Amino acid sequence: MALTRPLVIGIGNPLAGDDAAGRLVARQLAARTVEFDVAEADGEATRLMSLLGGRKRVVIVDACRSGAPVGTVLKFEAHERPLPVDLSTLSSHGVGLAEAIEFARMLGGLPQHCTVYAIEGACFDLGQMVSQPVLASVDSLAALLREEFVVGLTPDAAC
Amino acid sequence: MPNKTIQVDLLARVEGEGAFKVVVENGRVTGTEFRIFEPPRFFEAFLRGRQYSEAPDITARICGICPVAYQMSSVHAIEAAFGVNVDDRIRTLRRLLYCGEWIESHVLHVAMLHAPDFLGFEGAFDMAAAGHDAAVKMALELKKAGNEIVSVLGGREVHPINVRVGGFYKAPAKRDFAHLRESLLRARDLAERFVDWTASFDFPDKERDYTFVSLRHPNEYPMNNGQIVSNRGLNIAASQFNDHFREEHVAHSNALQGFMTDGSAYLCGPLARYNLNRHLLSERALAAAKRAGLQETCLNPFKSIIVRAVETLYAVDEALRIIDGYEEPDAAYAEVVPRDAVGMAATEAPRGLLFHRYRLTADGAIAEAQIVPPTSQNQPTIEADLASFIGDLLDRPEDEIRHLCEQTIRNYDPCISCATHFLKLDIVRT
Repeated sequence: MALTRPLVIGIGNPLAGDDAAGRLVARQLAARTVEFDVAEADGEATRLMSLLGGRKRVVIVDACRSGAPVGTVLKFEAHERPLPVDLSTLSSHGVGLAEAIEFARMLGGLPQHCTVYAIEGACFDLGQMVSQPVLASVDSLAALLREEFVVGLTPDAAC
Repeated sequence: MPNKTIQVDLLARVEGEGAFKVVVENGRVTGTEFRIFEPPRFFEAFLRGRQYSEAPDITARICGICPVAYQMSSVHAIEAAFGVNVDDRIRTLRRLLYCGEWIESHVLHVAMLHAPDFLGFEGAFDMAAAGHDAAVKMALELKKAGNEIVSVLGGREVHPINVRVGGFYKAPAKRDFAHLRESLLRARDLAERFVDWTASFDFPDKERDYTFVSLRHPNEYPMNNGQIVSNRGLNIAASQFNDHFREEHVAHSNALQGFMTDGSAYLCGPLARYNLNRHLLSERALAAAKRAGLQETCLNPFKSIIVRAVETLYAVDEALRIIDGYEEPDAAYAEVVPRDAVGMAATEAPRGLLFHRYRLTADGAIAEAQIVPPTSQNQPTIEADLASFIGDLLDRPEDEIRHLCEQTIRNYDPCISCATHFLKLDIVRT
């Protein structure tokens, strides 16, 4: 992966119901893209920090539980401010996404543009299917990102 | 000392969700309960009816921190069942992959989860913000070497997909290791400093006379192969595991607890590996252990943080040794012919012994799966540690007791589940 290219990171557990959302978005994008890099992650903070390091433009997609209707897609510009404290991303392993972003900010490894999309999930139990509203949001978010990066990407934004 | 209740509702820096309770009656600890919710039970059911070839990838999902361990125990057990002989060069590549996971897992636990206990911080973020950022950066850099091993050999950093029963889907070429070798050389220096950093901590003066259990190989520090041994004379093959160990359901926990068949508790993990296999560490790792003040036998579980750092250095050293001597195998995997059989294997996950048993049918389907993870096995020992270590602290401020309890639990790097990350502490004094 060339670090000058934008990176989309899909976070989650593909076997845990709606927690798979981020990874499904990543897989849709990875299936047909050459303009940007795509990675999947389980949300462990140090791995995320490794992925963020050296990049200038990163988009992170994760499942969340915020109390919004299932399938709602929330957007946060993490390079501007920390993720809201009342947002619970389901990707944690002791230390998770919010901590990874704050660590990266403190240690100077946060990309200039770091956007987090969080898809509201309903069920995160092992072995459960992804719910229909989340699947619909996965499709629309993947389409949005593909359009953003492929159509709307300017040379400045790319690097 | 009055009877009373201390409760902690949130304990971060452990892998998964759990709770524990300490009961104090008339100033004496009369009970400790460490309660966890254990994903492998789900996976055992999930595996039934699946093809044997799916086991490595399915079991890798049990834990985001140690997917390689689950893959390794599963492939070894299934190969034992089907009588598959794996080329030594493949075996060595598996060892290399395990080195990667040990580095990743140990560095994560030492720097991000456990070190804050010793340095007096709520978490790694506070620790870094208070002037320990250089140590955190060092750890992150060191961990990258582990990530790179898993990425080169496993196909990707998270949940490696290159592992299959019989070997690998694709074996790396010698040239694939060129960049990794450079990374590992840098990591070796970092790992030396990492050991020294952990050795600089203050350690509670607590020891117990444990039964240590780990694998032992005649000439390798144990990872994938060896007999299951203890410091009490146990020396058995993995296929005899269920004759000497049992899992028991206790009322206060969803998780099964591991005991010896005589009902005694035992300790598996870095401290057991070190005490039973110290002589098999690399020269560099052994020198670092001595420099760090580790004696031939270490009975203080708080010093497991040093042992993890020593094992990290060992894993870097061993990875370099393997890469330098690497010869490409003739085939990336051995052919596998299913048959009606039962197979068992144990490997050394970063947290300790990981036992798998499969009953398989001639069409390659999994009829039964049994997975005994290290955290299950360590639960009774954790409870005994809690009872032993806080007994003389009961008149101290509750924050101090709570802190020692949390630190004691984290000595074991418990890997509880993958969805949530809190542990409730309940100290009941009646």
